Amino acid sequence: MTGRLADRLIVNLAALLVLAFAAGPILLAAFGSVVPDRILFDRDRSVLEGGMTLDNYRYIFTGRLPAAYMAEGANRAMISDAARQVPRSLWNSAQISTSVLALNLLLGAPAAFAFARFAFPRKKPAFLFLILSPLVPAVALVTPIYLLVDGLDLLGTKLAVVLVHTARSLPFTILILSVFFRKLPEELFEAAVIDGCSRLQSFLRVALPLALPAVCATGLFAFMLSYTEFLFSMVLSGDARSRPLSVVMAALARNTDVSWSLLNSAIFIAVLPTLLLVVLVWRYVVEGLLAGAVKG
Amino acid sequence: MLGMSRSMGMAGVAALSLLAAAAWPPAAVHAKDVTLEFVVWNYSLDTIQDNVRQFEAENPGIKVNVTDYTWPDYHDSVVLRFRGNTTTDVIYGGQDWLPAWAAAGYLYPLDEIAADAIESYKKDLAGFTINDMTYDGHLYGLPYYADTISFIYNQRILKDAAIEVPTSWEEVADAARKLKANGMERPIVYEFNQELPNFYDAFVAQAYGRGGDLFDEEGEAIFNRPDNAAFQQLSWLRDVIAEGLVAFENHESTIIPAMNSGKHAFTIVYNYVLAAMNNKADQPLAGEFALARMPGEAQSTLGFTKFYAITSSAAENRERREAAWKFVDFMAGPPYAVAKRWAIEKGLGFGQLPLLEDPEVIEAWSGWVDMPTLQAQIETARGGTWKEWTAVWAASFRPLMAQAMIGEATVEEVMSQGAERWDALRAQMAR
Repeated sequence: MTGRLADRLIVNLAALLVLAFAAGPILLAAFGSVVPDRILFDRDRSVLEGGMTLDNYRYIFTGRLPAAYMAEGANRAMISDAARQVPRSLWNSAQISTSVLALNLLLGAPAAFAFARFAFPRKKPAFLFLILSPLVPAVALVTPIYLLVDGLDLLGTKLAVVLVHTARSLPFTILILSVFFRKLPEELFEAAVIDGCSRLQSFLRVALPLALPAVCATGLFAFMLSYTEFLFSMVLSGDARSRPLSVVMAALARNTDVSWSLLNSAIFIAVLPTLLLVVLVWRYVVEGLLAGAVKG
Repeated sequence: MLGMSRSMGMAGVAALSLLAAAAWPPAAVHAKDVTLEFVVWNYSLDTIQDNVRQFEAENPGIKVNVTDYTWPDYHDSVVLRFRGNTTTDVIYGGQDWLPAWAAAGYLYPLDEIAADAIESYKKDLAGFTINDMTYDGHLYGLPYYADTISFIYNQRILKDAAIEVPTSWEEVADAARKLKANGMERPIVYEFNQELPNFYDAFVAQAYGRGGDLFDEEGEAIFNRPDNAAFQQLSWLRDVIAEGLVAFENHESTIIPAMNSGKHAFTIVYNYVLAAMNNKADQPLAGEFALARMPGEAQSTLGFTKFYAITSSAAENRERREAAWKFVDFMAGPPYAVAKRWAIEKGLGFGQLPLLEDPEVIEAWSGWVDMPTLQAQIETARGGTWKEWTAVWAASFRPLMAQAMIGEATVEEVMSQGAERWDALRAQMAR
C-alpha cells in the first residue's frame, strides 16, 4: 500500500516536473505580457499593484502605443515597431508552413510508398541519399541555396522559403512514411491486385487510408519544422511582406529596442497557433495511431 | 474516429489549398526611373520607411526598396548579398566592418562621388565618426547613428552615501568598497560576455579613459607593456572582481533592470542604455541614473559609428550613383533632419555635432542625460583601431580578457598572447 502510494507520488511529481518545463515558459510569457515592465522589474512592488494590461497586445495589432509610453518623459525607443510585424508574419508562416505540409504529403507519401513496396533500379543508393542528406549542416548550404534562389529570381518570396523548407523536410517525411508503409501486411496489396487495382490505386485506396494517422502526424511534423525554421527563412524571405514568424521573433528577442512585456506578448501570440493545432488536431492523430496499431 | 479524421482531412485539404495559393501571389511591378536597393538592420522600420517616403516625395523618379535583416545576422546577410551579386545600392555600414568591405571592393568612397560636399560636411562631424568611416584615406559614409560608451552611476545612491562622482578608476574602486561596506553587495554591474563585441569595446573605452591606446600609430600592439593603459585597466578589473565588487550580466539589456533594482551603483555601457535605464515608461528607478565622463586622466572614451554607405556596384552606373548619393545626402547630410528625427523620436546618438546645439534635441534628451556632460564626452571621444583583421582578432582576444578578469590566467599571459595574435594577423594581412 505504502509502495503504491510512493509510486503514485513519484509519477505525479515527475508529471509536475514535465508540466513545469513544458508549460512554465508559456505561462511566464503570458504573465509577463500583461504586467507592466515598471512593475515587473520592481521587486518591492506587488505584481497586482499596477493592474494587468493588454496594452502590448493592442499595440501589436493596432499600433496604438501603450499608455505608459504616452506619459511625459517616456522614451519611445523601447517600443519596437518590429513587434507590429507579428500578425502579418503569423499569416506568412501559416501560408509557408501549410504549403510545406501540403507539398510534403503530395510528394512524400507516394515516394515513401514506392520505396516501401516496389523494387526499382538504384533504389538503395537513392534511399540512402535521401535519408543522409539532412545530415549536411544547414549553415553549409546557406550560400549555395542563396545563390540558387537568387539565380531563379525568387529571392524575397515566400515560394523560395516553401521550396527550401520542403526540400529540408521531405527526407524525414519519406523515411517515416516508408517505415509505416513497409509494416502494412503484404496480403492486403496482393488482394488489391487480385481485385484489379493498379499500383496507384493500391496506394490511394489501400495504403493511404490505413496510413492516414501516420500521414497526418508526418505532415504536422513537416509543418512544425517549417514553422520554427530560422536560418533559411531569414536569408531568403526578404521584407515584411514575405517574412515568417521565426525571423520576426528572432528580431524581437535579439534587438535591444524591445521591452520585456512587448517581447512576452509577441512570444505568447507566436505560441498560440501551435497550441491550437495541438489541441485541435493532435488528439485525432494519436487516436488514429493507436487505432491503427490495434488493427495492425 | 477514423471517419471523423477523414472528413477533417478533406476540410483540411481545402484549407491547405487556399493557404498555399495565397502564399504565391503575383509579384508587384514597379515602374520608376531608378529603384535603389537599401539594406538595413531592422531597428524601427516604420521610421526608416517613413524617411524613405519623404525622400521619394522630394525626388520623383527615384524609388527606394528597403530590405531588412535582424541585427545579429546583418553582417553575414550583407556579405551574402555582396558575394551573390544581389542588387544592393545603399547599406548600413559599421566601423568594424568597413576595412574588410572596403578592401574587398564592396563599398565605394563617398569622397570620390561628391568630393566638395563631403569636404564641407566633415567640419560638422565628430572626430571619432570620421575615423570610423575612413579607410585608406577615403571617407566611405555619412553617419546614421553614432554613440559613445558611457560610465553611468546612480545619483541617489551616491548622494545617500555622500560619495563624489569618481573621476579616476581608483576612485571608482574606493567608492565601490565604501558602498560594499554600507551593505551593497556588488556596487558595479558589468556586461561580461566574451561572445559580444561590446565586451571588447567597453574595455577599450576604459583604456581611453586612462589616456592610453592598445596600439601605436603604426598599428603595432603595445597593450602588452605593463605601463600601458589597457594593461593597467585589465589589472584593475581583475582586482575589483577578485574583491567581490562586481556583478556580472551577460547582455546590456539585462544591465537595465539590474541597475533599476537599486543593487548596483556603477556600470559601463553604450549611452543608449542610459536612455533605456531612465525611461519613465518602464523603469522603476528612472531618473536616478546619470552620465559621468569616463574615469581616468584623459576622461576620453570609445565612440562608434554606423553609417550610410554606397556599394561599388551602385557606383558603377552614373544614374544609380547619383541617385544613391542623393539618398545618402538626404538621410545624413545637412540640415541633418533625419538624424535629428532619430535623436528626438528614438533617442539615437548622432555624429553630426550641430545637433548638440539644437533646442529640440536638447529638450528631448535632457530628460535622460545631462547634455553638457554628453557634449564633453562626445568631443573627447576617440574612434577604435579598425583594421581588416580587428574583428577576427577581437573575437580571439575577448576570451583571453575574460580569463584574466576572473583570475584563470594572469594579465601578463593574456596580454602577451593577445599581442602575438595581433602581430601574426597583421603580418598575414601584409603578405
